[in-house]
Amino acid sequence: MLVDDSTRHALQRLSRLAADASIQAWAEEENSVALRQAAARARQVALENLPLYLEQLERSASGNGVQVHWADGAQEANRLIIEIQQASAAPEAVRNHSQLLEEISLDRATIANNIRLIRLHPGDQILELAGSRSSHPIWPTAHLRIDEISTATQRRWRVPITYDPDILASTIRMPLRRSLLRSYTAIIGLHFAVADTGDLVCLDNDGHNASLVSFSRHLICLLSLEQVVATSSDLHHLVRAYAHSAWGRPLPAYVTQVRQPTPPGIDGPRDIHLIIMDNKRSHMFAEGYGEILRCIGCGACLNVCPIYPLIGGEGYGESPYSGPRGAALNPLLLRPGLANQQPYLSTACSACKPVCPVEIDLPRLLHEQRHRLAPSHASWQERTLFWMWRRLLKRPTLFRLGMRVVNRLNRITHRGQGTNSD
Amino acid sequence: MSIAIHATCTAQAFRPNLTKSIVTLGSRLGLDLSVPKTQTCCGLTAWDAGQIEAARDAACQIIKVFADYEMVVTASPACLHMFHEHIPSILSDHPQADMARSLAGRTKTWETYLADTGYLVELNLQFEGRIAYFRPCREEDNHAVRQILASIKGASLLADATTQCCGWGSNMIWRHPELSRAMATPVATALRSSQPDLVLTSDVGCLLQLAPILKKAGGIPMRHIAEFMAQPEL
Repeated sequence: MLVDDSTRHALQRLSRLAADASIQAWAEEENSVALRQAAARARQVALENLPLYLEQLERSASGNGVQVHWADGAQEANRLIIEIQQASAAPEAVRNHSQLLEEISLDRATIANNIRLIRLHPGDQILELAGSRSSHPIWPTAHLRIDEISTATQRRWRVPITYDPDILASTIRMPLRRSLLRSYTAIIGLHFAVADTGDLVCLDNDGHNASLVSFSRHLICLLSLEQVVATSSDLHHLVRAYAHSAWGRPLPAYVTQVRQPTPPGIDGPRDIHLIIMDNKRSHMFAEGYGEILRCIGCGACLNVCPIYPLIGGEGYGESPYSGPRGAALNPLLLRPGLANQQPYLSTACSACKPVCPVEIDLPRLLHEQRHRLAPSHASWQERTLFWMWRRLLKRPTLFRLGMRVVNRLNRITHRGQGTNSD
Repeated sequence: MSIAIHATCTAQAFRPNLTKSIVTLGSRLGLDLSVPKTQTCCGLTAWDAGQIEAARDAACQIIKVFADYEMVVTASPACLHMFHEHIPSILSDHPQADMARSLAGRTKTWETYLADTGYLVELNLQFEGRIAYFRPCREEDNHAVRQILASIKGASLLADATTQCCGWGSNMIWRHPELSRAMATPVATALRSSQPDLVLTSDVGCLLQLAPILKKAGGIPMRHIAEFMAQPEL
């Protein structure tokens, strides 16, 4: 389960840098307590009145000239995206860096339908060249070393090996810019959508979302239903909280906000499609496990988690969501049985709780999932152990004897190893 | 005042000396301490495993054991968290919910009890050397331990070398031992880097996790603060 040493060092280093930057940004924020509370309240309000705001969003967006579609699951979202893309008759499309698009495995669906999908984010491009996948919502190449990036770039573009980040970045960006100029369809996984104005919102630190929107003629936006927010004022709080926690900055470098199709003569999409996807979210709410959907995907909990850098993205199976958030969400999101052990990837150290900008009690949610899954999914050995343990609880003399036997055995097996079991 | 010692089951199995230390120090201070023989486990292991029915059984048992004592002291902040938070919540719809809430109000760590009742002056703790303290993740209230450490004459207290988790908790030690070890190693390295003569902690899990590594790596002794208070010199 452990990743190799270099991956671990890379992830630990990045986590520390990101966590420190975030701590500093929050410390410099004058009204940090109020901002956190406002952000948490904004999520709470949206989730408590979800059907209302989703209907409002549909009305506002339609009124703005956006075509709204609903998708039950990942498969339907992919089908809609591909149908819209095929109607535009273009052979390729460009996409943004988005965990939501990873969640539906859009890349796989487009390959199956002979559509060339280009990832515009340089980090995503590196992952494609290196045959790797992202595990961090903000820093997709967090786990790669510069020599791995250099080798992958050299193999693809036949350029000399270099460890200069600027040269590597321009080698990787140049072909992406060309793709951007010739592609007519952009596919964007959103961060938020505002119910009362119909604004579709994306945040990033390099401007690739703004480029996608400006250059595209057809814009397809994917939203998972919990990402709706009530008002622009709520959006304002969430964007600021996100920037503090994700990048350690008071505001994101870019906030891309799209409201309506642009008329001919002006850069921008002539038609906009909004796909609102459920993908098991309503089920999570119905079962009483909706709290995890407050998450805005800033990655703050990953940055302080002592376990995430040890196991990397692979530790969280096929889900793009890692860290404590992934461990609490994946058992509800993936097919039953695929992520049942993930809630146990925690020592209940609670480092993730105080850093969450929307006040999610992740340690509690992880335990909630353990309690949900253990009765039906614990191994037979574990069930037998606790069956015996429950019987032992009612027999204190036997319990004490058992503890003494364990102590004696431990002393024998660890003699001279400093466990001081006497 | 009748005080019961909650003898953490991890300590019973792996560090019996810990409960003995509390008893020794308590009798030196003239306290009415006892270790109820009917106690088993607070249920934390089951709670962490997701075995809620087993945790409920443990909770029902433990609230009865400690019902007649005015105060319960424990040497594990993790167990204390169980008493304060989880036992009342597990038994919230149980006929004995009141007993669970009452127990939560009467349970403290041994260190908090000593600091809050002013016994530290009588202890007259002394140690010549550098002391590092490792704060367990579940130690929410740190004031008592800080008071105890500050009261040790002759000791030079080192700044916290790390705030990382040692990797023992929440059953990680037996569920994912390789992960648990990988978490412990950098913590032990950080503790060693400040070159302490003695490392103290207040949770038995952290102690069992880190003491063998520290001993093996540089012969640095690590002890529970309750053991240290009972017998400052090794």
